[in-house]
Amino acid sequence: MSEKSKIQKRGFCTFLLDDKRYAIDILTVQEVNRQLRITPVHGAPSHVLGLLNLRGQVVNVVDTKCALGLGNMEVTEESRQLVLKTNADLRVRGCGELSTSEDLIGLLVDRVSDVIDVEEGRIEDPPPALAEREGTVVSGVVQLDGEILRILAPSNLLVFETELA
Amino acid sequence: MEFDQELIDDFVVESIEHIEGIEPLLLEMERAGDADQETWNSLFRALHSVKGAAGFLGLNNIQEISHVSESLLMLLRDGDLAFSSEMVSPLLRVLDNLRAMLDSIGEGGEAAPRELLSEIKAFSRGTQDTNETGGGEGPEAEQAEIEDEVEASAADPLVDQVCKVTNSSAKGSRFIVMEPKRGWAREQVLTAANQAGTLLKVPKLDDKSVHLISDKEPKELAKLLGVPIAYVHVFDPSQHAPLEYESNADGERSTILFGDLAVELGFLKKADLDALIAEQASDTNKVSIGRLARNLGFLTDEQADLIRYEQLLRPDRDEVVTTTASKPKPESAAKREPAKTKEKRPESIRVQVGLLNKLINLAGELVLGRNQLRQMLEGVELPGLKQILQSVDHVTTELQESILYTRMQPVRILFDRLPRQIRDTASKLGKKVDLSVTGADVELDRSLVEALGDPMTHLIRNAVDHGVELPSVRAERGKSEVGKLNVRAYHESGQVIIEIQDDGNGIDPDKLRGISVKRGIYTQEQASQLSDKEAINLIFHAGLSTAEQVTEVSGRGVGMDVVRSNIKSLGGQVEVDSVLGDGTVLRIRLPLTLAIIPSLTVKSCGQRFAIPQVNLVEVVRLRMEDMDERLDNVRGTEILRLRNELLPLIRLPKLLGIENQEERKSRNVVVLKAGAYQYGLVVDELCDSEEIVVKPLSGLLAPCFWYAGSTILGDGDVVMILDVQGLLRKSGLDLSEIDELLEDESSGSDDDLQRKPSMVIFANNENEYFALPQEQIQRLEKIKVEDLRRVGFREYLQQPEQAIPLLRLEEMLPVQSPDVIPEMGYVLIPRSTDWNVGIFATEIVDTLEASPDKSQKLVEGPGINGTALLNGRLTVFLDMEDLLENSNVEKNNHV
Repeated sequence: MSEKSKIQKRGFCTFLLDDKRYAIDILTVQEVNRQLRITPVHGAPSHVLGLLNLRGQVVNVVDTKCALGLGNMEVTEESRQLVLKTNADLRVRGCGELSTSEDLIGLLVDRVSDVIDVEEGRIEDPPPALAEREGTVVSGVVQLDGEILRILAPSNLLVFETELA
Repeated sequence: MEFDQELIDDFVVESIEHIEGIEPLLLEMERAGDADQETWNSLFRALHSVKGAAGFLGLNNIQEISHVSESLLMLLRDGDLAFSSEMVSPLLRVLDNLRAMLDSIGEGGEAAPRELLSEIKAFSRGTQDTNETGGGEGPEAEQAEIEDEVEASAADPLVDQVCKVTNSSAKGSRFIVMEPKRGWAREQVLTAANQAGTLLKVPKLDDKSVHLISDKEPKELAKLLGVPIAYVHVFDPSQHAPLEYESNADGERSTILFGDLAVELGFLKKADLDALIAEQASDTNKVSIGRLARNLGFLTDEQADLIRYEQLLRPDRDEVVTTTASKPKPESAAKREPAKTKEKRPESIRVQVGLLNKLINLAGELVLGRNQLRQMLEGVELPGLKQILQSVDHVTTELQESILYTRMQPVRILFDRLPRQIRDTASKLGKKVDLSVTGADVELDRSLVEALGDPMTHLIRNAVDHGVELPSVRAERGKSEVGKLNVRAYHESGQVIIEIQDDGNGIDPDKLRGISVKRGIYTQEQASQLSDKEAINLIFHAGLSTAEQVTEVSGRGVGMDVVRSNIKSLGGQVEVDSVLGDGTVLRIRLPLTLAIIPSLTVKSCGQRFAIPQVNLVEVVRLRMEDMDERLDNVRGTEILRLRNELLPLIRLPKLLGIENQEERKSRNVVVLKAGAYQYGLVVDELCDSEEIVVKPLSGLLAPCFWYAGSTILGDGDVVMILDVQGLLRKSGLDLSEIDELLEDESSGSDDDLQRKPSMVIFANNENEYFALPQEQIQRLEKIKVEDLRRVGFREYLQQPEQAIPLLRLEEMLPVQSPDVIPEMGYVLIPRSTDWNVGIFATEIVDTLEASPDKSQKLVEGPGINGTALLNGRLTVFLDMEDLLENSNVEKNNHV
């Protein structure tokens, strides 16, 4: 593959929430984790499912559906977390233009799907019809095999109005 | 006064940090051609701190150069001067110079380079003749400056008088040599020097030069001496000879001997010098004459210094005399830099705090990993496994400790400032205070030491201002006129305690009650119901000052509450104890480090929580049959009757909105203290006490103020750490209301509930119970009986750091031995400083509030206080002191 064509493509990690397909820039993902021993944090905002021990580091597990304003998720056998790189980590790796969160975040998803490359040109603006919360979080969409792939901007996804349970 | 090497080292490290921060900013400015306000401010701040600290330490050369640069920056920041990129390179050279100066502090420090200073000053004055853009040498700028300074005195016939001012960087005062070239009579010179208002010594070098010590600024001196400032040269003795007292014994560096000079200057009689030389010869330690003379009181420190400076000057006299004003000494830092790089500072490298923190985190994780490994391998039998585990265990613990110690600093850093502070405060108030400091070597986490500076200042000021009385008052009260202030640092149960104790006035609880009413904090009725301790604790209340009048020093009513919140934010606590008329003790309790804290884990809502042990008062277990009697509900608040007091209760499920079926069955109450208040937290189960590594909460959880953070336990589970203050806040309990209730309730029940001491009831035999006061027992150990070691006639309980002799009651008292040898037993460790023993028990039965029945004495003997029937069982009340006294273990047997 030539250098040129590489530049124009972006890698995405895709996953399912209910049956809808979402994607997140692969460069922001640290790892996919299947550990689900989550300690609930009582009284925490509803989009925080709890905390989890990832090799000695505390991961904040986020209910991705809730973060999208789509209700609450159920944790199943298939559930996985996409552990995101922290902003500090991104800077160290020279991906300073990407942004996630200062904290170690795990996005809980119903199922992890493929990793795909998408040409920049195929990424369209999000349709205005999206729900309010989703509208601010989805940064673009891609038509893929007759399916709509919603690309999430993790930094927006992780910004919440202060809400107390 | 010599400054502690540590202070200077710290200054060097901090200044270098500042300088390193400035450099990129300057470069960025040069690139961009301008800078925003924020950049100016941070540049300014950095130089300002360097200047301030240098001034404090008497490092005048550093102070001077940073002052000059700071002035320029101030003009630029305030827009009084337009920035041009030509300014950058001189400023950068200032940084280089500062670095060189900092590096050579150990050898007495470098002088500030004149021409660079003039160059910078030239900018400050707006002299834009920047023809020496590269900033190589600055004769032109220097020239400009001289002309500028000279203008006023151009007509002065004294212009051609050369005056040299020697600046000693080690002291606040300057050593000055004035050497008028011609025209001045000796008397004129003396008059001028006298005008300078300085200590004067006229050496008999030649009849014209005058040597004096002055604490005046060079500028001021120049004015007094009637010469232009440009002729006042700052001169550093360290360039000429090492800052040592010359001794006859080791190599003659100077052309004139210290002793001879002392005689010449009239400080010492010739006969005395001879005596000193004889003394020195007989002394094997080869002490220098200078030191000897000072030690024996022949010379004052000041005189010795004067002689030393004089001596340092002599070899260079010729060179100095020829130096005239029109040709400033071409000194550059680079010229003197090499050759004398004697490394005198202690060996250390600078490590990024970030890296240290990472190491601390990793070590913490290693500890967790070790704990998990240990749990997993418990009971696994593999040859050699035990040794490997032990060595992993050992290395891990040591590694963690060493890494934590990298961040530790002695509280000396704080304590060193105190004498000065107390002196200043006391003299301002006309009081006499004697300070004694102990435990300056106790170490604390670096960030704690740094953050403690302000609170300590507050507390010390308070102690001197409010605590210690005026000498006349003290005399009236029969105290010594000089007030005593004891500052102590020590370790206690895993915490560091800093104690500030004065023998002054003490705090009057009634006065505080009065003020609290006056300020509308409490009603008259509420205030009168406050206990003395609670009233005294009001000093931490915002907006409350006991000083009758606001003094310059303190008494504005801010302070103590700030102190408390500062210390709380460090994870510490402040306590106050005071006896009116006798004095006050303030105690700051601090965790050793911020990262690891001892905690108790409890179970509630099917989940574990960690509670910092700092907040833990006691754990109470309710008996089923007592539940109804001891639990009550007053105005919607659940309360527990605990030793004649009412304790408000908090239940986590209710507070956090969790369903919990088992709730009603919860019988464990953890009594927690949040500041001056206490409350009980009802929990389902008590789990373990563990050292935990605190992980701060993420931004997502920031609204959850009732958690102090999270931690990973030995089994790998993440557990929330409860914030004791936060829980109270979340619960919305109004404690003043509770206090009211408490008063209501207890007023009636005082009489029928005679307060009895809490006793630990234990058994040594199926038939007999024993009771010992709970407060006399330090802890209980559950042991395997087979682990007890017998050496000679005595059994020992092996503890990690020592072996504790074991007492068996049947060997000391007329009581029965255990019927059967149990597998597990208990050892009660008394809270005694005199004895290091343990008392064996087969069973711990209960803790009860009870006292012996005076009407019956069924068992008698040494160590027995009396008996009573408790729960239908004969219980023997023991007297701890008596018991130990009658044991065959010797007193003070601590290892």
